[in-house]
Amino acid sequence: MNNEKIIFRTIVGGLLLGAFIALAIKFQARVLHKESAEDNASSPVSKNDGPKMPSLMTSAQAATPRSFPVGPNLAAGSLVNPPLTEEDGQEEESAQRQAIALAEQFRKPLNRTEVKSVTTFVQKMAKYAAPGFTPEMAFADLKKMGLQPEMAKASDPDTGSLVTIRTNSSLPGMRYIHLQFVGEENGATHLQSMTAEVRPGTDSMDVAKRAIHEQFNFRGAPANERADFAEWHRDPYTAWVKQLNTEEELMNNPFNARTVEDAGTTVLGYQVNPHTHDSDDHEHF
Amino acid sequence: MILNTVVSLMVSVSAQAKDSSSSSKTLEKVVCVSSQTLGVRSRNLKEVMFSAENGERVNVFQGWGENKRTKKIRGVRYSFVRVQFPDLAAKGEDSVGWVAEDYIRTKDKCSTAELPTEQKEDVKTSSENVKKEDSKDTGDQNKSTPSSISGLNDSDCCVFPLNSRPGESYLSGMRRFGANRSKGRRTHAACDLYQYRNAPLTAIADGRISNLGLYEFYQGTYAMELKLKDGTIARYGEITGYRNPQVFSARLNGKSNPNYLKVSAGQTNIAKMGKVNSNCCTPMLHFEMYSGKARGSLTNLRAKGYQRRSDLMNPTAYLQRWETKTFDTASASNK
Repeated sequence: MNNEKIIFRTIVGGLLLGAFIALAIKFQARVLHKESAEDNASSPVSKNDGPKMPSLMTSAQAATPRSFPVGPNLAAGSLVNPPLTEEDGQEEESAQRQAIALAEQFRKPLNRTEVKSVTTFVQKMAKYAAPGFTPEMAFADLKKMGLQPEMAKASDPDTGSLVTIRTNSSLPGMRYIHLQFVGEENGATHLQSMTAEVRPGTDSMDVAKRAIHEQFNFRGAPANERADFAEWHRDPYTAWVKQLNTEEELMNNPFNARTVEDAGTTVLGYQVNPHTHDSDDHEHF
Repeated sequence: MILNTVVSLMVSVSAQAKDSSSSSKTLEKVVCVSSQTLGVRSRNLKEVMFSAENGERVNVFQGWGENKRTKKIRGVRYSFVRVQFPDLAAKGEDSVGWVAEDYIRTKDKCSTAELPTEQKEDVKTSSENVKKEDSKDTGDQNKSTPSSISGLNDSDCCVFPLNSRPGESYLSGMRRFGANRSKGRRTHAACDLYQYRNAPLTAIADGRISNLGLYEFYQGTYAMELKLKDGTIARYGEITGYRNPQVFSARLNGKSNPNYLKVSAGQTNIAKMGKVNSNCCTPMLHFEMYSGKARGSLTNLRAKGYQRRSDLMNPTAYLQRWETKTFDTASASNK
């Protein structure tokens, strides 16, 4: 009899406790839903609520500090970090698949159009470095090619002028076309540096080396050659090709955005040589 | 509603900026907003990963990969671009994200970034301008800081440009000034000071970085020109692309940087030693000096021999004196 009472009380107690827990969860969910609705009303972007204006600019209060951990649903960042939905998760997975596919594509050998881009760029190196070729002429030529160039002239009363030209779009398979012309004492200008990057295809180095060798009519082997580098001298210029493989090489450019995922990118350069790094120069390792 | 109005206003301002000429004084891009900060978003454009300051330098990704995304917000399609904040990248912090394209402009076309006016001024730098607390932020240290010097022959002038003695003598071999190049057709216009990659470089005296800023020099290295009060110019060549924010950022911590492009004698880490791609040589500082009596670019391809401007100086004797002064005095005081 006593045992039956104990079992009965246990069952009833369990049911009551279960009901209490269920009610508590429901109450908590309502509170959270209300908070979320308030957040969404003051900021942004929840797929369930239809399109709303996101906080493109953050206020000083809402700004996420630099040291703040990255991730969704962070309480302190709730105003600027709207919760991700299941749909967002699927979208993100799809984006990651796309990114992997793209990365694989970048490693493929250059196609015919891209090879032609490299050849064209090397031709321009020779053209723009010719005596009397001005920055304005280079700008007009790049504009004619549809590369959306921008030109800036920095001048200093004591150290002359530097005209920089960069393009906003590029030839297929290339990017970051960067030119520098300097003004001389007599008012003339000359190309001082011209560089661009080629996507990290498996044959990018070979294509770039071949283009320089052929377009400049260099005879014989490069003056200096390694697996990731080659250079040729044509006084006062040096043409060079460098494959960027290490983080140090990739991440130290003040003008070009890069990440470590760009490993294998090949840089083409044609620059006035301050040294002439030929066999009689400096002390080699 | 308020936010909507602010955004509309910004878009309209940006449209006006786009109409202006494609030529400017600089191609350097900065964050340009009417508020203090701009949210830098993740790829899905929903999470704000960190915030960028108004006027902060930014590089926009180009080429292969996804670098542009659009998002329709309340019926308006916005364009977002993938960007990198080089000052954050230099510190090894998260530096890549997505921002609305309308809020990226060239520095001189951003009225809200309150650029300092030093670019128009002559050299008026004083060592007092470099705040000690700023130096602490980047580990910079000032060694000796003579308040003012009358010229290169002043006994207080100047400080050796490296933090310690160079690995090899700059008086001999191909490192010396005047060494033959290209089988005698050219002559070496600098002293090459050998040390190690990323070695911090020091300002030889109070001065100002030329308006040309940091520019591409040779095979993955860069150069900058330091103008001293007496008119002397020192070119620091073959340095890395590192830009010390204390020197090269027009804005710091949300405020206009009063020391923009200014350095003081002995200020270290104004640049870092680089290494050319050919790997031919030990990392070095290619150090050139000019009296300041001539005008125009320091390199002059028409000039025979050195192929430099007519006021090129031999820096050897000065470097020797500064080396003795900087390191012998320091070691004597340590004893």
